[in-house]
This record gives sequence, C-alpha cells and structure tokens, in this order.
Amino acid sequence: MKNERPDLKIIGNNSASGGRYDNAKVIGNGLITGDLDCATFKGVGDSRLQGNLKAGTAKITGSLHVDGKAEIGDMRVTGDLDLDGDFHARHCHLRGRFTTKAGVRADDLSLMGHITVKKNCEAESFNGEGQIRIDGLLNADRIEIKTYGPSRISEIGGDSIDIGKGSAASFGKIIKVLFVPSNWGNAMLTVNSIEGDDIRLSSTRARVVRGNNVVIESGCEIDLVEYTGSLRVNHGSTVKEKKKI
Amino acid sequence: MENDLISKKELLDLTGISYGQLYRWKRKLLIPEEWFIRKSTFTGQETFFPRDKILSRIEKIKNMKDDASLDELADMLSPNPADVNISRETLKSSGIISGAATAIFDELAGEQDTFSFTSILHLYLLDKLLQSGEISGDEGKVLLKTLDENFSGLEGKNCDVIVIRKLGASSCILVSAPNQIFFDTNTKVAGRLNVASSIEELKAKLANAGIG
Repeated sequence: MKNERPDLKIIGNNSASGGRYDNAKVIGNGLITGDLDCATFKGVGDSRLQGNLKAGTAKITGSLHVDGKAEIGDMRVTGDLDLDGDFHARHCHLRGRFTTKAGVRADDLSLMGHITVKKNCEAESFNGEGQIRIDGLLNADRIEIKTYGPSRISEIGGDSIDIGKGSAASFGKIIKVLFVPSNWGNAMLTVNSIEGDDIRLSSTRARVVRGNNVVIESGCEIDLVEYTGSLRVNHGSTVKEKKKI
Repeated sequence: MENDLISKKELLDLTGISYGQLYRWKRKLLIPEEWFIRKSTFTGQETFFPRDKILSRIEKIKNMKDDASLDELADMLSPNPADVNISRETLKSSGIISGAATAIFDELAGEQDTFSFTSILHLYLLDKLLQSGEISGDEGKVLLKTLDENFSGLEGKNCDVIVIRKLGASSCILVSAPNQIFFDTNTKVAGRLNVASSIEELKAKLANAGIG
C-alpha cells in the first residue's frame, strides 16, 4: 500500500500540484496547488499550500501557509504556521508564530511565541507561552499559560488552570530573535471568564473567575470570584467581590 | 422560555459535576455545542442550557461512564450514524423493528439481506410513528421516500422529521433543528420526531441487543 504513493520534492523556487504522496518535501520557496495528503511533510523555507493539508507528521522550519484546513498527527514548527481553516492535530510543538482564522482541536499543544486563534481552541493539554490571543473559548484539561506581552482570551474553561507572567530567563533563545517582547511591563492576560476546578492566577485581569480551589497570586484584577472549596488572595491583587457557594 | 433553561452554576450544583468534567464532556462532543446558550445577565454573559435535555444527558453520561470510555460514549451519543450492517435475521430477532414497518420498507426498496445503519434508522423512525398510531401506512411510504432522498443532506446535523396533514392529503418534511416552524390552521401535525434523539435511542437499543 505504501509503495503506491510517490514522493514529492520541491527544491528551489517551484510549484507542484497536490495529491496523495508518501513523503512530501519542500526546500526553498514552494507552492503546492490543491489538497495535499501525505505520510510526512517537511518544509524548509517558505511553503504555501492552496488547499487542505493532511499529514501523519509534519516538520516545518521556516514558514507554512495553508489556505484551507490542516489535519496532522505530529507537528513540529520552528517559525511561522499560518492557516485559513481549522487546525486538527494530535501533538503540536511550535516555536515562533501560530495563526489560524478558524479553530483548533488537538490532544497536546505546546505553543511558544505569538499565538492567534480566531475561534475555539480545544485540547487535552494546552501549554502556551508568549503573546496569546484567542477570540473564542480555550477549553483544555490542563491549561498552562505564561504571558510575554499583552494577551487576550475570550473565555477559559478546564480542569486545572495555571496562568502567569513569564520570566525573562526561561524565554527561549529562538523566540527572542523572532519576536521581541518590548511590552513585557504590561504582559497581562485579559479574560472575560475563567472556569475550572483548580485555578492559579497571576498577572490576570478577569471579569469572573469560578472554580473549586482558587489561588490569586500577585498582579491580578478580578471583579468577581465564585468558589466552592478554598480561596486565597495575595495582597498584591485586587478582588472586588468574593462569593463562596 | 426562562423556565426551560438552567444556568451553568445551577446545573453543576444540581448534578454535582465539576467545571473540569463539563468542559471535558463538551470537548468530547458528549454535549452538543448548540445546547450552550449565551445570555446577557447583570453579572455579564452567562451560559444556559435547555434544562430537560442537559439534565437527562448528564444523568446518562454519569450512568454509562463507568462501563464505557468517553470516546465510546461520544460515538453512542453523536448524531452521526454508526458504522454497522445488520442482517435481516438479526434485526428481526432483535425485535427492535416491527414486521409492519419492514413490510413497507420492502415494498419500496425491495427485499434486502442486510441493512445499513441509515436504513435501520429510517425503519426505526417509521416504526415509531406507526406504532404510536400517528401515521398511516401510506404516509409511512411518503416518510421513507423523503428520508431516502434527503437524509444524506442532513447527515451529522440534528433534524426533525414531521408528517403533516391538510384536507386529507399528507406530506412529510425534514427540517434541521433547532428551528421553529408554523403551519396554517388547517394543517395538522400528525407526527413529529427528533432524529438525533432517535439515533441515540436506536444506538442504545442495538447495543442492548448485542449488535452494533
């Protein structure tokens, strides 16, 4: 079965039509027209796909723009991933910039850099560092966010939620080159509502926080906290209203 | 309308589930997106659910989650047809579909040895309406034809199937749900079924009978 699929290779400044391939590789500046379905995709340089991408594994060094949606098993990106449609992946490890005009559904997301999602972002585990903007709901079992720059998420829901400001020392070298966080000072995360079982927040501005065990560390501005178990508020934060339910 | 809705807070309080569970079930598509109703309240935006639907769904998930994985549950609860083919004998012996319904089906589609899930679903819808006495055999044929010709366009979406009568003539409508439709006063709704909940029932019945 595997041998029936040919390999695709684009080297230099070139284009090819999509289709079903075993290994697809772009080195240089490649344009693929039509849907691409392949076992592995490897892009070094700038790749653009006019269609939908389906790949067992994908590794991008440089940039990839997909006009449609992408469905990928394991994905590794160093650089820029830009999608017009939905992004589905089992694992995605990205260092650089991630943008999608639609939604994200994944098992395991580890994104570092500049993250923009226009619709909902769903994962079992979400690990985001950098400047994050999600216009829909971020829904994951485990959510860990470190902000480096002003971030905004419409809603957050999950089991354990841990949000804070990143420290300069832990910020990756690659990201320093790709994206200079000049606005560290106001690296706050602004959220409408946060709902979860165990919540720990710092440097977060939120209208409502609802949870079981809630810990508010320094630098938070929260309008209302509703909790069923315990609440601890650090004196460096303001909580306008607390309600035990 | 207000009484039919339940706020998220009240729901968690009543059912004893946690935010983590609710969001997990939403992610696994155990709770359909359209049940999350956003409304403005004096504390800002809040989420509400259709009370009866969400309470019975959560009860069902709580009862079944010890025996099945969340993914299996999602398959059972999803409005997508299951991937099964069942032979005529198995279906007959399971007793899920009555002989009357099968006879009407055979008249239209010819005698088949095996039934796909979609055919069984059509049979099931027909059978339910026949058994309840809401529609006649001839109306059943119209129903089957309508389902046969148009169901693929609504697959995976929630829809209602409605049989109406006016001045002795009957007709059948497939409409995507949730939707409100209104008829003129002479029109009588003979029977109405929600397809997604029927799929759920059918999947449960097939599972109980040890098939599918």
